[in-house]
Amino acid sequence: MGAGPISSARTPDELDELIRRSVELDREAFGLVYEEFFPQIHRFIEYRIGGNRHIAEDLASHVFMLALRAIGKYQHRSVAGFRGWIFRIARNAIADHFRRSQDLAYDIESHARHLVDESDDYERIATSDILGRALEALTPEQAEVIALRFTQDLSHREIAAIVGKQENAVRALQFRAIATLRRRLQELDP
Amino acid sequence: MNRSERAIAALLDTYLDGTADRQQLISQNPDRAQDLAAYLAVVDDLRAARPPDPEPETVQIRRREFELQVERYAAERPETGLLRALRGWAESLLAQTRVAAVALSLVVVVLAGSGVSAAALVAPPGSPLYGYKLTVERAAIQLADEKDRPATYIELAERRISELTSLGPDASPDVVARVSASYQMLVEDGLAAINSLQSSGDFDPGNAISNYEQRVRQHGEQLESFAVDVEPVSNTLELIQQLVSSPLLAGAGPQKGDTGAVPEAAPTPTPTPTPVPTPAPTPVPTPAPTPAPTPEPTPEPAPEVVEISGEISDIGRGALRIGQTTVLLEAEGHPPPTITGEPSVGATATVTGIRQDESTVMARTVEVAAESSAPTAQPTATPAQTPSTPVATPDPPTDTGQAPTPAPTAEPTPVPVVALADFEYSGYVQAYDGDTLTIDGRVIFLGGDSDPGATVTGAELGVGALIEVSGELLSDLRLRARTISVKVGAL
Repeated sequence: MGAGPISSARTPDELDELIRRSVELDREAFGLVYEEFFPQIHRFIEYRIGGNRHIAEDLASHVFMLALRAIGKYQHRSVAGFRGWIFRIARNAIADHFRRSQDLAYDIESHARHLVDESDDYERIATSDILGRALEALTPEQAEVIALRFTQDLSHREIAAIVGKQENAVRALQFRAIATLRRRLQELDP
Repeated sequence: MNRSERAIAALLDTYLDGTADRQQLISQNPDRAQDLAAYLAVVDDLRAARPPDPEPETVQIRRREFELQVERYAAERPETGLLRALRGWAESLLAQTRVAAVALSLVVVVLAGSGVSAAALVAPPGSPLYGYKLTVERAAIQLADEKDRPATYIELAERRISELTSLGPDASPDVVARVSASYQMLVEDGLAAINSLQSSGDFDPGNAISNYEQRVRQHGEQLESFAVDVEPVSNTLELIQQLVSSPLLAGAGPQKGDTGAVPEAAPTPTPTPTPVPTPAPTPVPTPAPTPAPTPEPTPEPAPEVVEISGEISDIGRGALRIGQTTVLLEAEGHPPPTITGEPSVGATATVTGIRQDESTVMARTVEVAAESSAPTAQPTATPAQTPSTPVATPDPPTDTGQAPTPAPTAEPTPVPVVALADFEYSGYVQAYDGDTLTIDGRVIFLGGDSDPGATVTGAELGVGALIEVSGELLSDLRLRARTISVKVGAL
């Protein structure tokens, strides 16, 4: 982890070219960019909203619709730049989702339900249920950094670019989050 | 974080990065083993909780839906999309002028994201947006390759001729003067750009000047046939004649460091800068050749002095906006207003001036309230920094082609400088003096007293270095670097 974003079947140059064509509204290229980034965005959203797969799918699709509407304003420079741009859109979409649902807390039940749906590993379910409750103790900023770090394998620098903070601030947020989780997990499962 | 926390954080990062495993970390840090084990367990839990990827079928279905949306969006956009309007404008300019496509696309992309109305790009003379159009044209020139600039200047000058011939008999003298001045400035800057280019296999300054002369003569004929004052053409022809007989075109070398901006770059004897086409006393003295009846001249209305006050919502080159009113700070034939305080977006200002039309006021005084309601909300007005190299003089007010003359008032007026467009260039550094560097004929400013300066990474910056530079094109038409990545160090 931390060696950069999750590996892709496409080279950075190929992705770069696809993004350039997407800016010109090339349907096929934008479709391939979608295929590349949808799983990443989906994972990030699912982690942040507490594991509801269907909502995550809808929100991830919504993120790309927002990106399509804003693509005229996007200035392409690099794949990393595009990743930062689309994750910032995803952050805003998540924030809107929370505002709409007026549920700023981590949805523990939803998280547990998702795990039951998706896995037969009951030991993992039990662990994740406790983890889900522990995650509730994080601040939104800490939760966001943890989600980006653990669902995207992004480096501190890449996360910093997305959340608009200094690299050291991201490093500190990550450590504080892990420390909080450690304390909460000990309380919940002594 | 304290020292102990930083140490544990660093160890966790090595674990997350895969450069150390659990056993290694614990065995190498026996004094922190217990703490470390607990933290590593949390990290393992977080990794395990990572959601699985969506099903490939789901991704494919969603992708197809999205592609349909892309298709629909692309089909709908031509009628309504600002971007398309901007691109259309850029393409038409490209077709006429051979301006480098990449330069124009930069301008277009940035404008598309700036909230600038496409109407600005087709604004007729006299429109409040006309000055903006001239600035955008200048921006396109500034971003174009050096060898393309002479052709770009003359083609844009021909736009001015077209505008002059379409103004009609009722045009305001100020408007005629402004368009004429822009024409002269474009031709003169084009000639200066020719002078600054080296003779090469595919570029001959003599031929380029000759081409200019031929086209300017055609402009004169066009203006005559439309009974428009030909003074700007006469002036530029005079300048061309001086250039044709100058030592430079007779074989002297080009002037180094010239950015194709001002006629002062012309050789000695310096051609007498063409006079400002002062507001034409009789802009359209003869009847138009069309059979349409000439309307009776209407008496000039008395100037209406107005006072407006309110929050400054926008600041542009030589103008600012209060509510629905555009307040001009600079215009030919008008003395500069007295400005008290520093205009900035969000500040409250009181303006007195002469009403030009329903939505435009030529300012005489501008008073900015001391307390700004939103001083950091937008790029605020900052005094223009003195360029360290010659740069093109931006439109509108100073495009007179005149030699610098003392300002009528001693107090300089702060000029708001804002970023118009982003740029990215790569290539070898041709000149470097610590404050500016030259790459591919473009002079790039590296920062100043009130500027944070460019971030330089990689090897040593200097002449001969291969660099990638990104930054902003400012409204005073300087290129300001933000980041410089040195790929191969200085020689």
